[in-house]
Amino acid sequence: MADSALKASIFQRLHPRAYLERFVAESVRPDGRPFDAWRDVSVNVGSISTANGSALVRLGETTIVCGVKAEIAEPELDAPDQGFLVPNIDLPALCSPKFKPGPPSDEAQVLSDRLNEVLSSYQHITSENGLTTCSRTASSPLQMLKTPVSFSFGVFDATLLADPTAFEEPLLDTTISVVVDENGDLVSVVQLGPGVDTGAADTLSTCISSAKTRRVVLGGQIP
Amino acid sequence: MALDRRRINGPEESFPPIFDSDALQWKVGDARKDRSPADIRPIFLQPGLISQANGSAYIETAKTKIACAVYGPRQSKNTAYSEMGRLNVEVKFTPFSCIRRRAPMRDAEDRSIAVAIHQALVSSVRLELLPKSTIDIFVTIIESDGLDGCVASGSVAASTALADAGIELLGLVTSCAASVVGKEIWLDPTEEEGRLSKGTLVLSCMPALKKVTSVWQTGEMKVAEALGCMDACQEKCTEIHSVVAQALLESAKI
Amino acid sequence: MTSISTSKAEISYIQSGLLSTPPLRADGRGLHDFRTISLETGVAPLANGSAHLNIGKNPHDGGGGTEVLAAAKLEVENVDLGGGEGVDGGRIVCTVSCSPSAYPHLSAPALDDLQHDMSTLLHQTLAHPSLHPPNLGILTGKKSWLLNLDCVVLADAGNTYDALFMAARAALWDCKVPRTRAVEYKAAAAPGAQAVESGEMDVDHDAEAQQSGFDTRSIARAVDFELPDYWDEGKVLGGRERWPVCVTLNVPPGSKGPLVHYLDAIPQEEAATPLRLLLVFSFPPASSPNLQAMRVLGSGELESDQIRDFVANGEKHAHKIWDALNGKLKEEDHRRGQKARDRFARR
Repeated sequence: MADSALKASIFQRLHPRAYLERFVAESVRPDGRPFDAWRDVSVNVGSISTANGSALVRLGETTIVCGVKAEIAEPELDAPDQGFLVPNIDLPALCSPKFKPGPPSDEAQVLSDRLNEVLSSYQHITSENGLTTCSRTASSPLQMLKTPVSFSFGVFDATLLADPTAFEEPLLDTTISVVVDENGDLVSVVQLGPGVDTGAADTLSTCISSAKTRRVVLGGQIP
Repeated sequence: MALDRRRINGPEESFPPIFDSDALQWKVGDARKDRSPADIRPIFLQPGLISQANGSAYIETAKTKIACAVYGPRQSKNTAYSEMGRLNVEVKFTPFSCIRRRAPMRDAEDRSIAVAIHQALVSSVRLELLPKSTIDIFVTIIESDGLDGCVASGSVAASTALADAGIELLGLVTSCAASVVGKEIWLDPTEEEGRLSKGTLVLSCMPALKKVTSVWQTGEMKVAEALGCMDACQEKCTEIHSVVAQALLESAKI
Repeated sequence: MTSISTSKAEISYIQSGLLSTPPLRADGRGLHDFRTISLETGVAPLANGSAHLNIGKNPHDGGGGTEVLAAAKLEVENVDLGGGEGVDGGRIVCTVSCSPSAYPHLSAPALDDLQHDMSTLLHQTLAHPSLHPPNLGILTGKKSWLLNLDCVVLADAGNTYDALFMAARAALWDCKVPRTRAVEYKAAAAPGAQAVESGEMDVDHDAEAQQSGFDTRSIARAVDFELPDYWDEGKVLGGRERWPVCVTLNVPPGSKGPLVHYLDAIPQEEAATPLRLLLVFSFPPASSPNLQAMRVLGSGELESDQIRDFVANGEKHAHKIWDALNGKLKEEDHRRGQKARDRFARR
């Protein structure tokens, strides 16, 4: 048993493509999911006391920690009633052997930029309720207008895979990310790679409708 | 400071809001709040949380939260031939890990903590068995409550991660901090308590072999106080050792 | 600090020499003997205090040895709650830089790391609140002194840490803080307040005005300061006799029984001795000695009894260094006083 598991893992490393192809031929993915299934999500909010807001999200084996630090700054002259929202994504060397320590990699820069685009594309956040409160003791929560959530898909050999893992990702022909807010409205769609015919209807619309369904399922977990 | 084009930048100047401080009002002679002087904060230790790494550990001692991953032994790059393996420790603070936001740049503190953790571990790893190789240890401090605590917990997490990676060690390294506050010795000080203290000491050792691998003392201490701190730390290290061993055993069972 | 590559044979030769009875060292010293140390203070005329230290200068041609230059320079800093770094009571920043010519075998990043490690140890030890001199404040809530202690390692022939701490102690001993006098604006009854004194002000007034906008609490009435003309360069740092000295105990591997240690290693000996214990002591006049820092450096193991033993021995060694250094510093003070008087007489 142990021996065959070892053989499988060597095969996976040496021939990742053939490995995944054999799974796809059996209509299942290496981690046992069907093509359209999502990994489990767990959300833990406010565990970091040094941050003004924080969240720990686990998506399968992927873990992301996010902290928000609020500081006071002078607004830009052309937008006196708006503050600044400065999102950055760090992919530290800790999380995967493909990342190196040092300045942000290209991948981290692209991801930060995409996050920034979604968050700033239209105003999701407002902290003004008409009143400005000054207090040395109390802090009040940020008013969120929208809570956009992103969902990823990948196309491998004309098969549409939802929520690809780190193993599947580099093998994909096309990746599609769909960002949907809590009303099911589209915020952003990004497709990298050629549009592929995956048998059924238009791939992109399949992704969008699947993302909307998933957004509703996740609704309860995201505050 | 030059603008870093590789990151999304905020306004040039910003200031953290200042709230009324509810700082510990402590006078020399008062007893310690919350715990007795010889108590350490409870340790939660979980090996193997980072699936991509060869070995990893996550440690939480009250507010201090540290994740650590070990990659390697892998081939040394850009270095001359070496008969011994190299142990490379990198420490990173998340921008939100401290009361004041830390700009996402490598700064002086990161390096000094990395050096301290390296010193604690280097004698425990059998580097002579790994010529031409490097072991990378990446430590991310998610939340910090006292630098001495970060050094101690970081060393424990790193040693656990090394064991989780199956790298040959002479023994597990555990580490404990102590500070002299007034006339007393307080173990595992928080950031506030660290500020009150005259001096602090972090001791790392291999309890199984009764060998000390590192002593890291700063501030002012009488010789007797320093030796007292070392004894107290060493005793606690033995207790921490059983916590680490238990955690590794449980993760190996699954 | 692994310096120039030393062969295995050489390493084992040095190690067995150190462990033999009687112990043998390449230069014929005993285990606990230092090389000759030479020290001169007041070497940088523009600094507020400076010192030049050499350990192990070759007696014949005056070359070689570990050479360290330390200089303390004072700057005025604004104290404010927002972004400024200044704090009430002043602060100390220590930096060590290593001349690349002292470490020709090190790459630039490795040299950076080395400088950084030395800076950290020096800064953590000397800038610790327990050693903070009381006279670095100028105006509470407004201005304070920033003491920059810069050390340069010009040549490394072993035992840099001891040299650094000795040079730092000498430079800080030598440091003089300029006298300051607070200046107040008297609020006149009539509109248009008048400054009592506005002659020799050292600082920019606009910066002052901006800052007071932030400060809503008015604790100090003094708003600025001036430097009175005085016959000397200023007052010495408060508690200057407390600045510590460092002693590095080198522990050769493979010693049996009670552990052997030796002092003041030369580079070849450092290469042969991976483990060392750094002890930084201060000897306050009226009480027992203070440990200001202790570090184990390098790979190797110690038992706690051995550390206990080393600390006791280290204290004795440090006390000798302390006494010798104090004697020399007094001598230097005297020499420079004499020089100043001579110059005055010639005029």
